[in-house]
Amino acid sequence: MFGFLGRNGAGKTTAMKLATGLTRPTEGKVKIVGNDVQQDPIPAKRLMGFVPDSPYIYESLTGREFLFYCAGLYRMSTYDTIRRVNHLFNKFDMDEWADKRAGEYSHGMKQRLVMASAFIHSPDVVFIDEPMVGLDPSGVKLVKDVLVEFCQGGGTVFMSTHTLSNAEELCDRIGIIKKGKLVATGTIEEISSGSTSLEDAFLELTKKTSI
Amino acid sequence: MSEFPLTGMGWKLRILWGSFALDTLRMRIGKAVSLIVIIGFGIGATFFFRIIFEKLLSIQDIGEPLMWKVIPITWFTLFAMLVVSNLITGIATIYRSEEIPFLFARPVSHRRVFLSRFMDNLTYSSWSLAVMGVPLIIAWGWVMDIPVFMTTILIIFGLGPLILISAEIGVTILIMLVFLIRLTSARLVTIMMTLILVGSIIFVINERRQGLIVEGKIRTSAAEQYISTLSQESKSPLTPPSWLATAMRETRKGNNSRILFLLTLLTLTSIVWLRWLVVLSSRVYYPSWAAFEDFTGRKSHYQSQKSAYRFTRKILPNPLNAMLLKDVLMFVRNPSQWGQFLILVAFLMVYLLNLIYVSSRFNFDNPHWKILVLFLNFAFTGFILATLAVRFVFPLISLEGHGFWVVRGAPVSVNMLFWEKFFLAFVIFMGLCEIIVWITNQVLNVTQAMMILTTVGTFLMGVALTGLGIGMGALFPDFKEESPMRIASTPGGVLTVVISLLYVAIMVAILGWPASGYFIYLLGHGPFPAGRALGAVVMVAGVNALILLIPLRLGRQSIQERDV
Repeated sequence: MFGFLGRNGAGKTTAMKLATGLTRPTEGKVKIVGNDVQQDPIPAKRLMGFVPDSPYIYESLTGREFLFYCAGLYRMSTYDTIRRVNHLFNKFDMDEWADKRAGEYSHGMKQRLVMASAFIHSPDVVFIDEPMVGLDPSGVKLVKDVLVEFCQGGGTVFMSTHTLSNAEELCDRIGIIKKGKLVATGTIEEISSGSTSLEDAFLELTKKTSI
Repeated sequence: MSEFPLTGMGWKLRILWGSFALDTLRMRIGKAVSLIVIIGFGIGATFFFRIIFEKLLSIQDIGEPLMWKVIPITWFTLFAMLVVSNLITGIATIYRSEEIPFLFARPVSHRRVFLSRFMDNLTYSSWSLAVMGVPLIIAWGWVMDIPVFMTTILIIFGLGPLILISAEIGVTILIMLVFLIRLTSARLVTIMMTLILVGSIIFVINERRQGLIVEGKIRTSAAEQYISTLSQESKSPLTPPSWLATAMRETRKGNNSRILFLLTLLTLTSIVWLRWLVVLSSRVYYPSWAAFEDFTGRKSHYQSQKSAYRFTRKILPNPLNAMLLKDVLMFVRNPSQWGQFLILVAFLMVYLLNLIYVSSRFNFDNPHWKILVLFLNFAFTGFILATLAVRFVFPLISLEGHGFWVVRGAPVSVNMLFWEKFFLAFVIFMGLCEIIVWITNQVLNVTQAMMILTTVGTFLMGVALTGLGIGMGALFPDFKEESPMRIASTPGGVLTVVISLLYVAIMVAILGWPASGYFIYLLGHGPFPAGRALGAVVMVAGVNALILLIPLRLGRQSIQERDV
């Protein structure tokens, strides 16, 4: 699991969108398991899942309909779709809400639903922008467990976060971004060496330059 | 500046001005072009209406009486469309707008909140009538040699109040409906609405029958009977559209006291109704809005969903199947979408029933009448297709809304997205329009050549207008807006309206060229117009290729380059 840290406006979300093909780069390339996201988007997108920072979904669809729709976009078979949808509702503790319209969901419920949609096609890589925002403590624990389990199964998570404690707890490696540039990358220990904690290292690396 | 009566409107003007100041040069050029197009459309419409009025007046003996028959019908139709438009747009503007909770959370009275939403709704719903209505009155005044001063008075104190009254009626019906749903149930209100709609259709058909025949047993031809009705006064003297039409008639006669009476009646009605609506809103608006907010949708049935998914999956492959199912579900669950569609279908039914009725009374064996009515019907079908393209096809891409990241983040190409939207719109709208053409061809008992010409012409117009709607919708998307009617009212929508109508006019003109030759051939005055037919085929192919491919290509490029 790779954690992507930076101050507000540092460019984390833009980097996520570049990696998932939602924004076009002015220069450079992003490759997902060898597939260029811009030149060869279909195979690249087939291998990845994405959870945006704001869980915007179609509010007139039920949670189940939304997951059926997402599964269809990935050309999943009917059998696999039904099996995976039931599995994910169970995993994200949403069975009771599956057949209610998304417009009735709380922010946290929408966040869980979008998270479930990112895993519907069993991707190799998942990009998650601020995964814990709006989740209650049980939701945070659930998401952490899901991410850890996914990585233990061989998957890769690319996660942006403000919460340093989450990064320390979950990430194998982290990168720190400042004004659109990667200023540090490595394990927690490597980044924090020379400082008392990851927080100090982060503040030091991202501090504003004096005028 | 006092907040009353336009709470929020002042902010909006400032925001609008601010957004213009922040626009890039390209965006400013785009807005300037849209403005020029609208003004150009207004000027073009004025000349167009002038030609229509001149043609009408040139018909010997019956020209002017016929014009006085057409004007009230036109105002009545536009008025009815505006009432419906305000009612449907009001769902999004008056009840579902994100601004409302913001305003209710501030120390602003319910009355002021309502007024701000009402003004918003009025602007969105009514500008199109202003764009059509003002040129109509100017053209009429021009042809009839009415002084500019009087034409201006008619526009300000006649058309203005008429637009306001239609908005007031539409919004009053909406508020009462939502309040009734709160008191009773959505199902009961739906049944009531259906009964009212059916009743209205029967009423309109009956009105048309009254307009076409004279009571009594005069043993003259149907045409003579019809002509004898032209000089009669309107049979609906209590409706605002007839007040405006009568005011125009009295202007022609120079009867100033009657003009003053009718325009005062229109203005006072609009003011009194607005006052009454404000009083009503202070009592009813907040509870009905709260009821709308608390409304919880019905739970969907898992088994039926699973069956539907399995069934459609057998017919269509994914991702087309998934995208279509999603769009159909969203259409069905959006009352402003299907409500508008049903009303359009109801209008079409009235039109078809009228045509069947008229054809049973008139002798359409005369090739001149037959071809004239056939082409008028063909133009009407094109107009319907253009309306559908703007109201329903243009918003399809924008309606992906904030959830657009889902499809852009998935392994689905923009081409596939376009195909899905095209397929959905084309199947429904073409079905509808080909049915109209088939029925009218049967009613008019046209020759096989004319049947093929209009059927193929409608098919081509369907393909081109659907492509135009999708392409323009992708070129000018508004992912922040949820109301399809408001999406259709954006500058991109206006541009689509103008292009669609121009396209329909060009198509009718091109196909009319060989048809007129065919008419001469049928009368035995000339050879079969093979050259004209070939020329028309080439021109139709060229125009359709342009109207289909250019917007689609530009739209695809725009979507591919757009950041989500």
